[in-house]
Amino acid sequence: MNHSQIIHQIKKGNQSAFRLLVEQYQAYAFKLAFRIVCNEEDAKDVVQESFIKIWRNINNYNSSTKFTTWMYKIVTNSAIDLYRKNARQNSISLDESIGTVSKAQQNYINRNQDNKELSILIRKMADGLPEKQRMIFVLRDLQEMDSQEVQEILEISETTVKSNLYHARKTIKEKLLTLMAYERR
Amino acid sequence: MDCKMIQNKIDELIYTRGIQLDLQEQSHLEECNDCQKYYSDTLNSAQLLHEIKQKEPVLDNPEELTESILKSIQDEAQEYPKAKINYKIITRLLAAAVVALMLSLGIEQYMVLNKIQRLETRLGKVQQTHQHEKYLISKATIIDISILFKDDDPSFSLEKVSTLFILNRIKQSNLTLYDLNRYMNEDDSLKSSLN
Repeated sequence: MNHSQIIHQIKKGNQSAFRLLVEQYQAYAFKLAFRIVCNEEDAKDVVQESFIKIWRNINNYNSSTKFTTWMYKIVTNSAIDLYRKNARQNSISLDESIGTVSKAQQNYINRNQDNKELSILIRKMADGLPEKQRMIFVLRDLQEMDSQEVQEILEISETTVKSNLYHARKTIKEKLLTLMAYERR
Repeated sequence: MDCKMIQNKIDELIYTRGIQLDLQEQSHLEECNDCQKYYSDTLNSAQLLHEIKQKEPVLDNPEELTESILKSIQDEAQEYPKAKINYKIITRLLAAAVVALMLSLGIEQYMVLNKIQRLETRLGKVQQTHQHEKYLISKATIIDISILFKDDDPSFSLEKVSTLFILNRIKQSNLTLYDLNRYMNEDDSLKSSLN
């Protein structure tokens, strides 16, 4: 069954087709959600909630839009909601992040190393960024989406993407340099 | 040469990799310690960022998440069976209903106004041809008149409005009791013309 057939079957209420869709995209959705909420369990909740929304709203999906863009928009919005809810609770100390940065710098990080370390790194980099800058940084630099897709997902202009990305990168660079300087002491 | 401009170029060079420094900029970079430090810092942080980017969050046990998602939609499907909604048909039906409602209300309004107009014409003629002692119309008589105009369905608000409207017009026209009796009992042709 090709992609458009899968969507067509889901629109008809076919749960087996929906299973194929979940299996195909849940890992990517998890990565995206994780990089926004920076927590494994929260990211799983976001993925689950997002796929339920996809199931409920599949009839609103217009095939003139790329399916993945529509789906990532749902995932991003669900993750942003949770991120906002958790924003006050999640703060991280400088000490906690220094060792983690050091490992990354020395290329100790393996692809399959635990998610907690990555969560600390992303949070340390992106914490304190305005929400828009943070989202653009995650989608553009970490998820490596192209500018057009970021514009569609966040419903913003190309200029907004460019200027926010510029400021986000600048702030992140300063943070990383501060952390590296701490470790050189 | 302006260091800030060169440093902006360095950012662009490292992050977007789409540009190159020209000869003048390159020679500035070779000579300026601040810009060299900026270049080296930016490169280091970009490399670190690249490392972070390479490390992907790992979804442990994806089958479990899949089953959990499917269970949620199955539970939902059992609770609220997914209706096969044909939005085109619903839209068309709604449009037809709106048109029907507008026509119905329009016709109803036309009938009420026409009835009032005819009543006024008739009552005007009665007043011109008969000179009788004038009496105020009692409240009881007004109720009698209102019964005449009542629809079978007394709850229909349009009828209530029209009745009130008619009563108001009758009050303003100085109708005599004779005229009223004539209307109520004697002149069947008048009555029939009003219905």
